[in-house]
Amino acid sequence: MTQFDEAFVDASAFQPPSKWQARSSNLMVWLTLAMLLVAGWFFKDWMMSQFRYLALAEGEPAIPYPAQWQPQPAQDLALQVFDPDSQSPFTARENVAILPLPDAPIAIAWPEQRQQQLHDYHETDRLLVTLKDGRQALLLSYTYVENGSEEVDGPRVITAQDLVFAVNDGQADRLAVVTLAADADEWEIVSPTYQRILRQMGVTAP
Amino acid sequence: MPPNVSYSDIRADDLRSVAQGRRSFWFSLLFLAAMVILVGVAVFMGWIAYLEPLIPSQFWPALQTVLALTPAVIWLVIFSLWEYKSDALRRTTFLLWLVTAALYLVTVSPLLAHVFQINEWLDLSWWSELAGRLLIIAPLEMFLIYLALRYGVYPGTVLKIRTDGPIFGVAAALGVATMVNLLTSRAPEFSSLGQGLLFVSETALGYAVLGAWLGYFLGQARFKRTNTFYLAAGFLLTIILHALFFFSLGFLNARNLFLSSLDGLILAGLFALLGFLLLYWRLRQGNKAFMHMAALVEIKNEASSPKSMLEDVMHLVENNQLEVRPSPPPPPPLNSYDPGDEIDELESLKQSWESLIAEQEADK
Repeated sequence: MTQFDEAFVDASAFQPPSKWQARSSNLMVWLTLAMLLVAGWFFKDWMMSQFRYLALAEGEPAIPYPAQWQPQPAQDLALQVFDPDSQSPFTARENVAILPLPDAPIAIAWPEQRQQQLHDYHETDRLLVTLKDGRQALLLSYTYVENGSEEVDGPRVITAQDLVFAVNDGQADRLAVVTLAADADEWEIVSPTYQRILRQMGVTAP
Repeated sequence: MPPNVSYSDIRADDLRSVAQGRRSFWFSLLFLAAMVILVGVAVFMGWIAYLEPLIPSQFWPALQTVLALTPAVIWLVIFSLWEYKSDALRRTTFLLWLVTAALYLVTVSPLLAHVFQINEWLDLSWWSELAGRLLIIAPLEMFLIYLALRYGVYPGTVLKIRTDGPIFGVAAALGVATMVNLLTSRAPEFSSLGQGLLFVSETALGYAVLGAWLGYFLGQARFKRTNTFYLAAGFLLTIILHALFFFSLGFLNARNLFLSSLDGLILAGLFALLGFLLLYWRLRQGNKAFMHMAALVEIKNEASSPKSMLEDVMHLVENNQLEVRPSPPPPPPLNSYDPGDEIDELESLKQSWESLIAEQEADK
């Protein structure tokens, strides 16, 4: 080996590291992990506020629902998801039902149908809105009393909103009903999530 | 070279001892690879599907557990058989595997499921899966392997040579792979014997490569003075490889209704082949550099060591700077005492002394 070659040989590199060097290398690994996990934590929080989607049919709106809500199959419903953080016996939920299209205009027929179905039904608001793709929809806000059922022991006041619009499932025109319901005591807590669902569907007052 | 380190501070023998190889490592990996190829061939030829109906259903849960343990056990047994003379090495690899598996169960698995709630959102889209793997799953799993190596073998004497880093890395990584396999053994990925075999093979190969590389970086940092960021950069590289490999594996398997496929096994095989070939090359190059440095240290130390007096004399003689004359014959032995000889001896000594003085005066 010539002297010139030796200029590029770092003999000190072939020594085991000092204690201080070993510790600082170790510290850098811990720091790398900490940075990644902090970023991961924020990413997880962000992802938890994202939605999954129920596809109705090609060309029809997809119905968003919170990613962390628990799906539970139910008869007559295309989708039923529950809020896992809900403390009430009547768990905050989002339901999607696909029903036959009524003969009368939706804005009249659907509130009447709800009045017949629900106990102590009280309508609080009725709005004609448009969705992201420009189609007309009805946004109905109401309260009712849920009497004793399998999940609720005594009567409870429920606050709910229905977003109702016409869809075509490939064979015929149908009525899609997205119901956002929660115990009246919990409504304030869960309401921001419901507002995000409506925003995601592009609900705007005309 | 920094002024505080000179060639005389370095011992050539130390460098040589660090740069040894271990055939047992490569042999056990080759055996594992052969088993994986056999699995692929068996699934491809339909032999597994033929065997499956012959297995009674009550044995299926036990068989799933056995499947999950198989790759790690194969590697550990082959490695231990080859290294039957080295008790410390065998004991350390087995303990690393066991401890990492146990730690995965009590730390990483609950963190992923309950703190980061991975199952709630990871599959929302392809980018959420990639980012989730890159930011959470890979860092936690690779850090567990790192912890096992850094606090298990790095400070002690069991990490003797550079190749030991990858060996212990594979042992720890197979602990993680075993737990991942066990926790998945009740999932659809294990719906059949063929699926189970493919899944455990893919997982074991992937983790083995990642563990080996993390062990390599740790071995480098143990025996060389590396940059402060070197180990962290190596750690980050293994995290990126982890995320990309398992994301690609999931992408390929998604085309097969989220079940393991031969495509996945081929990807895992290629990943392992490339990973281990590159590792072999890096280890070889590194060992050569250590040997080269050992030779250089010897040359340097020889050149700078003080010469002996004999060497000086020989040098003077060779250059005709010193005249060599035959030395006078040695005096006779004094073992036999005879008073008559005493006078003669004194006389002879006196004559020798006088001749020596005369000789020196003549030289002057």
